[in-house]
Amino acid sequence: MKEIKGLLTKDLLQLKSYQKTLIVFILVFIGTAIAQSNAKGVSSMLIFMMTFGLGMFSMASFSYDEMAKADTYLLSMPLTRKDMVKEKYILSICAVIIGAIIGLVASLVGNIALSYIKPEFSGIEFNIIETLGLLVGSILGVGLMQCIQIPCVFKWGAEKGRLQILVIIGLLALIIGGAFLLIGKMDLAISPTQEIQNFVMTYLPVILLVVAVGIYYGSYRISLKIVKKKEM
Amino acid sequence: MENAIEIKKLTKKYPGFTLEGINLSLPKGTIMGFIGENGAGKSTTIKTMLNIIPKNKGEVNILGKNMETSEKRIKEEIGVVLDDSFLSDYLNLEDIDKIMKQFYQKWDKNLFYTYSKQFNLPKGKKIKEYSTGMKMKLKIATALSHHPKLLILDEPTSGLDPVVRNEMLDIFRDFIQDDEHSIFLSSHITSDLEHIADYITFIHQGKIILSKSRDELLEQYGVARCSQKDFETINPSDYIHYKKNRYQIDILVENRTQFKKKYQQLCIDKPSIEEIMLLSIKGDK
Repeated sequence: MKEIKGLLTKDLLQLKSYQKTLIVFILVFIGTAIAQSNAKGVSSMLIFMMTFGLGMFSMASFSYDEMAKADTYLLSMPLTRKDMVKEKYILSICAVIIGAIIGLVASLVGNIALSYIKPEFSGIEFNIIETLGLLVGSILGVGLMQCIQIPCVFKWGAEKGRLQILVIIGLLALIIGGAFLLIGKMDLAISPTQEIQNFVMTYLPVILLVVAVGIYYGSYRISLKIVKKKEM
Repeated sequence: MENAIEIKKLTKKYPGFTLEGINLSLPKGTIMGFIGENGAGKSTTIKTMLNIIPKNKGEVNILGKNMETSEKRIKEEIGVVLDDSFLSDYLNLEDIDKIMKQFYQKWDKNLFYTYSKQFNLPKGKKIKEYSTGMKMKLKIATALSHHPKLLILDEPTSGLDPVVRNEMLDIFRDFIQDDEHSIFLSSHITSDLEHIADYITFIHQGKIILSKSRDELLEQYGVARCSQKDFETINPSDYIHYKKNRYQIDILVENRTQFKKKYQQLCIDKPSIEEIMLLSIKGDK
């Protein structure tokens, strides 16, 4: 466990130089959201942007390691490749969750500020269920992106990995979009029974959690396989 | 004598380059200089022995333990300096201390700051603001601060001016004062090794071509310099390599005294490690 703590310390200290940029990023988004939106808009934009921003911010640790060729050096110490992969996932998950929490706090602050700046929106109710849904959705959405991105970065490096993820996300969008288009053209009526709908609605948080854990685990196994074979 | 490093038939294959069946032993309490031209396989040997690069074949034992079964325990007891990699340039001394104390059980903060002070490393500055010499000193201070028994150093003096290089060599001399300590040091600056190494190992195109004690090399080997006419009188079994220069032929011989007795008319000198390396690599047989 000390190894993981050491790696996390390294990444957080490296990312410290982004501290000011991050604060500016948060403030700019709060400002933009207040200026352009109503109460609901502030919540959705801030929660998603903060989750996304922090999630992507954690990925910068790969670039620092790559620039210093730190992975090679780290392997000369009492660490394993498994420790290195595990730590990157812990960092990414923590960044996404912290981003979502900052987003939530920022959206509350934004709403309070909005009620003073634009009093016409002060009557709009703050829907807690909707906000939580947005929070979970943002965490899962950004999490899914990371699950694709991390193995790509381990395989191709931070720079090339960014290009690869664009290609992969583009392909996924194409496949999903194509599938919907095909279903539409085939004129298939897919309507789940009431029982299925009730089941999904009742167990949605558990289903989402299981799916998220499954995707993260799958991504971790792929990354581990890549790193074990990688020539540092 | 117990060995600090024992490598048997270490093999690593790449398309276009093979590290072939490397065998070497470093007796405990000594320094081995590992030399060869750029691209000869020095860094690959070090990275493969440390399992940074997965090997194809071979066995590595360090400090009496097998690398396959005791990798973490071995790495707790060694200090490594790699030529081209370290931690991020955006960190400073305090950051390095905070990170390293998590990695090494025996990390000694006081020792780290003592070395940093001795090497005049500024505490608050980020590594990116350090000079090349300072960066190397930092790598060495980091490698020494968890009380390692063995130092494995890849090109620790390359890119450094003679003054800093000498400082480095003094640090290595201090470290080796303890009989339990050993150093494996790769370099292409052979003059450095002539001063401190007890053993010299040459690597060329992924193969070890020579591994002997420095004294044996410098006291027994010789370089005879002669004309083409004299060269023709020498029995090929009496020399190892020769190199034709513009005005003379340099001949590398394994036993200077015996050669001198047999060919009294020829001039034979004590060679430098560099001459032995050049003749072994560039010379003909």
